[in-house]
Amino acid sequence: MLEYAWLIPVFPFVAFLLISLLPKRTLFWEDGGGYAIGGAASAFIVSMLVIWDVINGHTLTGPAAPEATWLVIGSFTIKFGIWIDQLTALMLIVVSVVGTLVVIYSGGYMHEEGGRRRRYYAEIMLFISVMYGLVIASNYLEMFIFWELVGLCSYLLIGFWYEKPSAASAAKRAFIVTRVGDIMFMAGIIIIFKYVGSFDFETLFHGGGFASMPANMQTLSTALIFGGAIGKSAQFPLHEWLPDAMEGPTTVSALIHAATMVKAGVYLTARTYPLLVATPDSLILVAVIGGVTALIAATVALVATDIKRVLAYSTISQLGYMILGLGAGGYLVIHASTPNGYSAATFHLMNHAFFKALLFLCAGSVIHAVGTNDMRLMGGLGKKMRITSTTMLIGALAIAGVPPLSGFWSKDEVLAAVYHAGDWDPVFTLLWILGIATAFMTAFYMFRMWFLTFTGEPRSEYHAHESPKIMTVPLMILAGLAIVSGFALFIGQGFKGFMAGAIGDTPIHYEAEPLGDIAVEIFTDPLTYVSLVLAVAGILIAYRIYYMPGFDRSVFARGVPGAFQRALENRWYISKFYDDFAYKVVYGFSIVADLFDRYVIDGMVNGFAYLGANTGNRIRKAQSGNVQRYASLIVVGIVLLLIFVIYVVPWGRGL
Amino acid sequence: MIPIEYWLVFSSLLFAIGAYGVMSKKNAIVVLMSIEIMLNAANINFVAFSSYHTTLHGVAEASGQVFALFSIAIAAAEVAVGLGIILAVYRRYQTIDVDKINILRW
Amino acid sequence: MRTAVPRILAIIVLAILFIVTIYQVDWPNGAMDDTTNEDVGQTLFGTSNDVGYGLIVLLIGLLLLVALLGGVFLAKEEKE
Repeated sequence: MLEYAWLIPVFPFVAFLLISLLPKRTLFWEDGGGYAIGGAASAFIVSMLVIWDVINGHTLTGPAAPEATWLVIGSFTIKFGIWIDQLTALMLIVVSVVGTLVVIYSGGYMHEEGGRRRRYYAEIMLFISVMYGLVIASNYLEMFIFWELVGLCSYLLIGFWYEKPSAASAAKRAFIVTRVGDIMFMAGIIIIFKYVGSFDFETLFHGGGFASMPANMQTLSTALIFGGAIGKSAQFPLHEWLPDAMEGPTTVSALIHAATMVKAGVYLTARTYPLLVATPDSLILVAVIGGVTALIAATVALVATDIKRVLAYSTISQLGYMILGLGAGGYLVIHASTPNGYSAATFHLMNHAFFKALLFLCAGSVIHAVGTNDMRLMGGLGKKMRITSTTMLIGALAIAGVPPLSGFWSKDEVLAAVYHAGDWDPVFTLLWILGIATAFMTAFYMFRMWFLTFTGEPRSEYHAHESPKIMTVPLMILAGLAIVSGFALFIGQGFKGFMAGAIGDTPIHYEAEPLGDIAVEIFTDPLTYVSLVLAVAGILIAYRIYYMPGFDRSVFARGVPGAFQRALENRWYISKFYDDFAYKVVYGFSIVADLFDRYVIDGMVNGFAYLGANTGNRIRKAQSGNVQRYASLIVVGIVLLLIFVIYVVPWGRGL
Repeated sequence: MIPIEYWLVFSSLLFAIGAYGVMSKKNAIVVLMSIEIMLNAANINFVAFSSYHTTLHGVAEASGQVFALFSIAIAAAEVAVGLGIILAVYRRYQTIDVDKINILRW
Repeated sequence: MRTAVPRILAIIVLAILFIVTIYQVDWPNGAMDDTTNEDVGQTLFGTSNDVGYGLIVLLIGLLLLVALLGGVFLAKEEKE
């Protein structure tokens, strides 16, 4: 079955072609929604079959994988192949489940859009198919191609309501900022190609070609590849595009900016693990950026008033967690030969995809009902939207890390991995403290959001009603997944054993622990209780401030807290810094370039033309129209010619 | 007898005089006459060569002089056409001064 | 006129060139023959085996006719 994995991207792509090319009246239900669901569902079925095979222990990597030759350039061939291992299976679960549920949900959410639904479904299908392609790619070049295509679809979908100038500029911003990351990615793989001569994962991970590079080039190339992840996964300093990307429809935010595209950066880092563990300096970079991002994003989320912005910042923060986990896990692989950090981060990836998509879709349901994104105008929705409020509560509990929901298991694993990596480098202990603080803040702002939206008295006039079944059923499915996906730690060999197979041939000693031991280990570790206590404390403080009446929130507006609050509201002025920088430096440079182009280059071209015209102008005066002058010129010419022929030529011949 | 060079020199001088006339005379009819002079110079050349070396194929033949005859006929035709043109030009510009007829200029 | 001087100069140079060239050529010796008009007539109308220019004479006559007609046409006055 695994050889047919290449069909997975084909189904949504066919759906894309059908939706965009068929005449309008054959599109039936919801302007193409039917085809979209069909494409997404078929891809889902095939991915489930593939995943079942992988769980049973088959992988399709290396020379056995089917591949097609695309370009032959001299002695180098570029191939398109597939690579299925446990990491791929994980990503397939995420993309297929969330993708299909979001497409079903869009059937209800985008109902009033009218003729634009067709464009929406076509773009969503294109996105899903290229995301699948990215996940099963077998060499860096193919992955990069799909990477760029994913960025393109993100641009198209963020700017879906293109007549809104904020949406159009947000789409541009997303594309340009991720482009910076993409350039770094490209530079990284080019450096690898220069030294090793190949892009294939097989050659790089198992062939030992990577080890033959000079050490500083190795570090540089892996750091640059991680740069691509920084851009696509919205890490500091390239994180500002994600909150602005909330200008797109909420389903787009759920699919792309919570569950799939931003995970592509984490996926890339995880996929590059065999290379990263050879360069510990890159691992420190990875971990530091992850930790810093997590903290910064969490602080800004504390004061966000737009419900989608809160979720966007929390996405950035959780991605920071994953990246931090991967960085720390690398140290664990190098020094302790356990895949703890790697498996923890990828486990958190899966769980986060589910509960973040759940949260976004609930937010979409709220926005659909109320008509506004601003939480200050909401309140008291819990009475009217029972299902949404319950599922969102489940999602908030999951992300805060309350057992037995999924977030608890994976967050704890990540924090434990970071703490243990501190044994080899004190930087990780510092990052652990940042992680703990972030966990506290996560719980706080999530419940702030929930309390502000669903409890209390309505703060403005709205007519809210529960969403139609087509929207609430995916919510319930995702809530169920958010609850149970944490228990994947305990099935089969345990998640750690499952993921250990994906790290190539770095020696990993992993004994399959009996599953009961895993649970015991978790609950007897004091670290678990630290993060649990902080999570509960965060929830309680949010409860005190936002639910119970009588707390004067204006205490935050004055003095030191006031300055802090303003800094947070301005997103630590990072966005402003980028805008100023772009305006002054880049615009100034572009003015210089424009002047150069206009005066020097155009000046030269114009100069040539002027020269030609001027010369012609002068020479034409020679035509006087006087026939006798012409005749005399002829005679003079003949005379000169005769002199030349009769005297000069024999003289020259005699020389 | 007279060396052939005399004839040829004579013809070249005539040619030069005709050329000068074409280049320097204001009146269009005088220019035509100078062209005639040049044509006649060429004719003299033909006749000269034909007179001195007639027994080319063993038979007395006078190709050069015949050619000169033809050339006179052509010259006559050309003068007829030329005078017609000068008449048309005069009708248009009321002058036959070649310096004044310079419309085909820049 | 000042433009006449170069012209005269050119003509004189041309004439001198011709003369000098002519005198430099080694002309074969020969005397002037007597060719009578009868000879010219014979050549023209071809009683020998070599050449007959009769046809050409007729054509030239035609050409003269055409040229004369053309000249008359060109010189005609335009009727209003």
